[in-house]
Amino acid sequence: MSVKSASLKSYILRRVLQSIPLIFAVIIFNFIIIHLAPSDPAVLLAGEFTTPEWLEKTRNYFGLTKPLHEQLTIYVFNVVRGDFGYSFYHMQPVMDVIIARVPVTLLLMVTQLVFASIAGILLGAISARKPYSFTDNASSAVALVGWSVPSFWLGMMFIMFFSLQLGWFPVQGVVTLREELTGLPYVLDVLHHLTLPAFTLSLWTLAIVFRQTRASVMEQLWQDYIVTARSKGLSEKTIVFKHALKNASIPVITVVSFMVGWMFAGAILVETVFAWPGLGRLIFEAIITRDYPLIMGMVIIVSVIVIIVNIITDIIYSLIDPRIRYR
Amino acid sequence: MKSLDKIYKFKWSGCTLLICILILSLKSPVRITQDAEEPKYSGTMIIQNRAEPPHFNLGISMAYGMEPACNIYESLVSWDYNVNPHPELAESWEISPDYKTFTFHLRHDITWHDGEPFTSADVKFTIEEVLIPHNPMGKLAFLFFESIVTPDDYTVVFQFKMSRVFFMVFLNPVSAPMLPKHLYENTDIMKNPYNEKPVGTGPFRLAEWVKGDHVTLVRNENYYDKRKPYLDKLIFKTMPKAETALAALENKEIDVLTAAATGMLLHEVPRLEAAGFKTSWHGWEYWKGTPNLVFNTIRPITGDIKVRQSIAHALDTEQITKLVGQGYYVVSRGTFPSTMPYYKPDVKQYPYDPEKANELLNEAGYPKDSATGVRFKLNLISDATIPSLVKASEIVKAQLKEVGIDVEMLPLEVGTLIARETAGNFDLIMELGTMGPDPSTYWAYHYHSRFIRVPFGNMAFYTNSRVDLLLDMATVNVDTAKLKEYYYEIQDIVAEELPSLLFYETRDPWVFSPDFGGVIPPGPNGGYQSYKNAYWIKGQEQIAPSPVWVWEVIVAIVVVVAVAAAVAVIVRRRRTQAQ
Repeated sequence: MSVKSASLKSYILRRVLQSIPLIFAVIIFNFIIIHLAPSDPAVLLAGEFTTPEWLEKTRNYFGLTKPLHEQLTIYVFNVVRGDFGYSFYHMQPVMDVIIARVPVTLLLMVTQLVFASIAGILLGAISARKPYSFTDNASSAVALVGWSVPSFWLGMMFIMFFSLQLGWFPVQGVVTLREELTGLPYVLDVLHHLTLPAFTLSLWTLAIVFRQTRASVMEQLWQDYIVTARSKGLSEKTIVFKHALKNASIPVITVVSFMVGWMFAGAILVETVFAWPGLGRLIFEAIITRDYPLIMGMVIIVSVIVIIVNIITDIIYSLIDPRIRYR
Repeated sequence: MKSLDKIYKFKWSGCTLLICILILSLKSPVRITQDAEEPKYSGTMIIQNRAEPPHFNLGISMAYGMEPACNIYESLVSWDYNVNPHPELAESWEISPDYKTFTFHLRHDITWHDGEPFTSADVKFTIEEVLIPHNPMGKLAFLFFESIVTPDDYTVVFQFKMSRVFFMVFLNPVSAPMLPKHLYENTDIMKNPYNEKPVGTGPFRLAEWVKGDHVTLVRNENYYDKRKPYLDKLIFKTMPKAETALAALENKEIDVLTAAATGMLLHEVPRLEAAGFKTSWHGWEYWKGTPNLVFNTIRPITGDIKVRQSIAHALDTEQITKLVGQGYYVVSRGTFPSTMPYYKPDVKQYPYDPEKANELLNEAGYPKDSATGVRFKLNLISDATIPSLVKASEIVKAQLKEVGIDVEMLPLEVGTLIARETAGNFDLIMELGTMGPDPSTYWAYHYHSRFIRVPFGNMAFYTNSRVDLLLDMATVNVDTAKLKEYYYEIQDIVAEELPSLLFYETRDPWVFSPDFGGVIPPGPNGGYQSYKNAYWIKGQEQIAPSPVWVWEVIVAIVVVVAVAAAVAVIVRRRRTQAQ
């Protein structure tokens, strides 16, 4: 085992161990924050017509009449045992509710992240190579739109134009409900439905990745080794994409890893506009209904995802830049 | 010669193929007609569902999104648009003159979706073990409930301690769905697995639930009414955003847009009608929405009756109705919805009169500030997710400014709204004011003092001992003359003291594809009844088909003969050529 791989393994182990108290800190903090919000789940479950007796019975059933510190202690111990509780609203185990939505969420998130990253890096590198050219200006304009225009508005505009006017894409959903497709037609149908929401969601990420790549690559193109490379007669394409981009990738990877956590927030609106049954809409509904166990379960999931992504990012750093070593 | 043979073979094969196609096209024993007046069979209808159902047990939840469950479960009776009951699980019933005893005779031919028979034991179990303890409305619906007796498998007798004139209206799938005793007995009702895979008696049964996306129901082939349902399949697509649902309807991805969506898109209705979509203005007869301005009567300013009456004069309800309702809503002239029993149309009115409003405010001791022109400030909270209420709030703010009242609008998410409402932390609330057809329950909910601090209850913190007494007496009285006297007096008092001011009565339409007909929405309470009376106009008349195997055999014989003839011809020609 090489020295570098051994130190990387011990670094990963250390990061995992460090993340455990971090996750518990996140649980405690969010538990307090959620319970500070006005109203309670029993009231929101009741609907418009109910009685004080029913509200009290429901609060007792969910353990909401216990003191807050007792509720927190019970919850933490249950989480340690792998029990994330029952959703107040869905009356199902929290993990069952979350897992049911994971596949479509992953499909949307991964698709938009991959597209945004590839497109953003490509456009950024091309723009850095020829700043203030037509390509650079056009890409910057797209990035500006993606950064500043609300995603839900963009989504509605795309629906009106691409779905209603042109009829190229469906308005909503994951599959065509009138047909029972299987096999390849089913896959193509899902991809057809995925296109607009993924594209809408990707624009914000694309804007950030594009800007970061452009700036980083431009900075690299001023370095001495680039002058050397040019004097050696290397093509501009090779200089940009093989040398400059590689050295500029560290901050870009950092930015992309940040996007993973923010994706859930952006996904709430896009999933609502396109009626996409993902985790973004689920957590929004959980907050509205004060579904405490489901909110906490989602918080834990997102926290774990962010921690894992950060660890993976650190690994990628060391792979890209051999000068980076972990102790 | 060889090319001619090829052409000949091709012609023979082609003719054979053509004959087969013609025969196959005649195979179907079913005629297809375009007559839209008669119900047709088959078809799939896709309906917008405004929220994801948490599960399917209507007995323990009245959450939004539970409409699919109303096709799986049924109640003892169903309701038409005039709020008249019709036989469903019960084929007949008797009500004692004192309205304390309700006897239902159940149908003998009903089975649950798993084949078990539906009996009176299921009714008794559902009422006693599920609805009364677990349904949010259970204690209200079964107020004064004493016992339920089942003398035989098909007779159910409800006994109440006091008279319940309006008890029948609670027998609908939302507040009284019948659940299978054999699947729920001795279990935790709240966590029973059949909450997710329901077994009901309804015309449809659950086929698929893709959580967060859609619910698919298919025809119950063993439904007691052999003529129904007409449709093969219902799909409830979860679409919380009204604009997306509208686009999906126009793109033919869904077939039915419910009033929950159109209520936010009233300005689109004329365009949809012009485009050929059908509209139905039913579905509001049971639960009526009457947006109103609620005054916090325990606060100094809004607790002053002169201030409340002056605000009533300062508001142009005609203009509010016109601007919010796009010409579809009706101005409210009373203190309760006009479709409710014992509605009194000639209560005290507060015509738009800003001068009178100013006069009353001056009398109340709130003169205008000489510098700012403002008499006092009030906050107005409303549900931010209901655009019509927010719009009405904006108009109220503008109109009250004219008489020197500075209104701070606070649209809130519903949890925060309820918290502030029950805590009395507000001056004014703009609320939807839903009322049902039982005055003893729904009117009491809004104006009886025992419902103060109950969410969406007596939000005004209104206390009037005479109104409390009249409501209590009306709840247990059966004499229609007395009931009219009590309810009329209540309305006069409420109109005078004005704990709330009604603006208009909502009438949000259902919009659906012209390819469908029948009863849409399915009942007077919107989607909270089954779609068994809806049909696809391009469906089929139900004709007894000839046995499938006969046609299969005929086609097979013809194909074989045709192929054999073609082969024989080819072989003969080759022999001829060889010779």
